[in-house]
Amino acid sequence: MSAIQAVAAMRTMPGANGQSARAMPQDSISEFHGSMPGTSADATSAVRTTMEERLFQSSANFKILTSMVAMHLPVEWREKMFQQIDTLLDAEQWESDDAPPTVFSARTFLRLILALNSSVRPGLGASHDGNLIAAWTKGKNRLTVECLGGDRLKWSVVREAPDRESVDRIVGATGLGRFVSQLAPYRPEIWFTSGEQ
Amino acid sequence: MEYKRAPITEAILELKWRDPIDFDLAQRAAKKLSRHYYPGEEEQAQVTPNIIYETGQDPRASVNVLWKGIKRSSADQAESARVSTASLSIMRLAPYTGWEMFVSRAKRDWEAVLPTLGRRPIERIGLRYINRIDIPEQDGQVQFSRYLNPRVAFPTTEWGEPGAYFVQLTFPRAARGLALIINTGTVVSPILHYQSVLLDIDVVAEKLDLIRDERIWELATAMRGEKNRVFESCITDAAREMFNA
Repeated sequence: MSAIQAVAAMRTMPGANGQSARAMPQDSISEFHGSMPGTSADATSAVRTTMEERLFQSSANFKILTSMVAMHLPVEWREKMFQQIDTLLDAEQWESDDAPPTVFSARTFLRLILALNSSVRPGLGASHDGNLIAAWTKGKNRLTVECLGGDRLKWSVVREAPDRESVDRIVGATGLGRFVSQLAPYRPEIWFTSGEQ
Repeated sequence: MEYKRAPITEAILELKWRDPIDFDLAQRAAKKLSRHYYPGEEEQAQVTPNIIYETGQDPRASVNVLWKGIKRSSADQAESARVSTASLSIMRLAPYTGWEMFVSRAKRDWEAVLPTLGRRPIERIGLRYINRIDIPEQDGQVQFSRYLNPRVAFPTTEWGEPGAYFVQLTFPRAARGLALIINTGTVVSPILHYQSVLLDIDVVAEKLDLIRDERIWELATAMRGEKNRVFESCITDAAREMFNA
């Protein structure tokens, strides 16, 4: 956030995201699609330079974004995803050269989760350049989706061939809007309907 | 009315003191909020950049930082409290867990900061609930009026319902001496193939001079009743059905 944006955020009075009760709500409604969540924290972000602090902020952003759609997620999903993200972003385990997941990636990830309507929670990972990675595995069958900003996805499928002796590998890159239909030929229900991982 | 999937994305209760306090005092008061409930802490500032550009000279820039308050947050970020130079605010993000829990937390935090702040008059109470109603598209469209009563009247129906709108309604003297501000309009939905509507209800009691705790909580509870009444009047049975699906 630039300094000028910081002023705009901070001139209003409270609200978890720093908006006034009287402010026009365009700021608050951008929680999911516009500015970073927790804009009120951003005035101090310039001095948050340690990796531990960046990881904390990444985790906090993820949790705030998740809260925006919490009413559409099972309660236990939310809690377990938070455990996953805390484990993933554990400062002691984090490779110091890697960028923590961005808020843009987190937003795409959550939209993916809601679009798939899966009853199986994915495993979570992160790319070195700040993208969250969701993975579902069932035996030799594996679906991996890297969530980029702006609803863009890179995905790969490893699917056991009908002869059960070989596997097919397919990779793709697409927008979230077309992802479900692109995945359909690989019978994704194997990943999404078989209980907890 | 309680809903299985309440559309509340954020609830905020703000108690504003009559006379602003020093940042140092706000900081000391915020330290009294339980670390057990609020492990996260961030200082909040108003940052004002100044850029002076005069012909023939290099631009000069400086930044003024005015410290405003301290926000303390729960580990899951869903609950937070903010002590500022102007007020104490209690916030809850989704999933909303009900008024009783929300107001109990407000009382707990109020009692935690009171010994440090000293008893001081409350001039204004604001109770704001931000709802986002997510509606599944049918054939790529949503008929908003099926779910919400506040709507935009347009002189012709020739073009059907608007695809997007935004309305702010202010009632400076609403029921029981309270002011009411409603912001409602379409927003980008977080869910694919849905459209969403914001319903932001802000009930305000101003020009107060409250010292006694019980009066503060009585008024906050009455404001919550008004907020619920307004919310229920703004939604239709189709919306209620959706929240309980």
